[in-house]
Amino acid sequence: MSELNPPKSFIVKIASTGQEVVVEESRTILDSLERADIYPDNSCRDGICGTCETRVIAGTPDHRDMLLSDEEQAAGKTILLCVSRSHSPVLELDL
Amino acid sequence: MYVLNTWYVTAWSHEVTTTPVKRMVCEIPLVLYRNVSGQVRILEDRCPHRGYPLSAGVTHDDTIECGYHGFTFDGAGTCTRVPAQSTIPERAVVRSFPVVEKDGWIWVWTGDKSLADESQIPDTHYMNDPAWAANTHSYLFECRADLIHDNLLDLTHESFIHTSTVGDDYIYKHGITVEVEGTVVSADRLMPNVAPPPLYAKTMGLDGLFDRFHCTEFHVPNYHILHSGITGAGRPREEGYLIKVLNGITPITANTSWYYYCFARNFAIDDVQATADLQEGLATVLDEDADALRLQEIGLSTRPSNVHDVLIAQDAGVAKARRIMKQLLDAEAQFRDAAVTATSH
Repeated sequence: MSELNPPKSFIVKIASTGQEVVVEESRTILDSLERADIYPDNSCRDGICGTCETRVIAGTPDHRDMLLSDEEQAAGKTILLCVSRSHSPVLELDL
Repeated sequence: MYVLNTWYVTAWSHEVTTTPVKRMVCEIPLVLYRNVSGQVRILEDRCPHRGYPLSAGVTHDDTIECGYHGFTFDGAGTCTRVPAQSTIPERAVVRSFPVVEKDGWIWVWTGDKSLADESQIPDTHYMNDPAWAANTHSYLFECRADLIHDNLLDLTHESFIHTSTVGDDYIYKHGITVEVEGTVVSADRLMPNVAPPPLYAKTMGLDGLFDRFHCTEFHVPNYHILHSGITGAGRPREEGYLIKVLNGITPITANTSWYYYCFARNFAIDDVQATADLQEGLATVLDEDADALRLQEIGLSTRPSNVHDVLIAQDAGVAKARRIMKQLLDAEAQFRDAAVTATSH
């Protein structure tokens, strides 16, 4: 696994509504969405089970999960909302 | 849906003789028989004439004769005789399946014949090696094969289901390390400085504290080998009392499965009493699993399709394996769709 960058804040854009949710450096995407009353399916909240896996429409994920293979992480087509973050300032998700 | 381009364990060597044996694998009815030169033949268990099961017939040399009107087929499924007429109809052909017999198991390839590669069959020499003593069982499990895979990848259930044999609360208190290589998922748990499991402590003639370990190596989609045992505190595993549990998991239908099981140990290998005690103890373990998974299958049968498992961190191996299983199924579905498209143009 590559060295983790210190968490930075970024914006998650909800594709279905256009709503933008700020993900602060101290919170996960999942926590931030729930605070905005958006409740994706989830289970382990630990990057293991894949229940919260969501399709990435635009932006570059910063993967921190243990489920996706190296190839899947490099492809960046999906992200686990419970632990992973974003390299790009905006991450547009299929929600 | 089943992964078909793979080898499934379908019988023990000793079960297959010149008398036909009926089996079902991935909803495909099969007939198995041994020809005069000792080779195992596997054909689809349905006479093309009128659908009668060939397993209700008899064999001669390399051929099997349908018990209804005597249509006769060789080991390749080619019709060699139709008693009531002199010509053999073109469509009088039975599908034949690639077979490999190794170390006491008979494997059948259920998919595209051109892809059958014997080198993909895992190393099962423990069943047939004088350095190891083996106990074997086969069970019909009334559940989908997926539940057996989950069960083997998540051995924390031992703490609850197998309390009298291999269970202990210390199991679920230790986490697992999961690794993936190709289509093989390994879930490894080290339990340092613990009592040996009750089932083996007697056979091993041990008391005191040891490092216990178990590593489930799941060759997705159908075979697990568990590398387990105990060793001295902080000592290498290879020095210890080692157990290899071989598990051939073969879907029969969407909610029934064959479980082919071999428990091989590298200690007390000439101890007849130990083998007898283990035979009984391991049957208890398998009975407990069969009962639990039957109940789980019933539980799942009434669960709405939009409700999913609530996986936890100990399910890391389960999650990885399900993902690989889905990839294999998707790849085969795509291949089939492409073939259908190609033939319709």
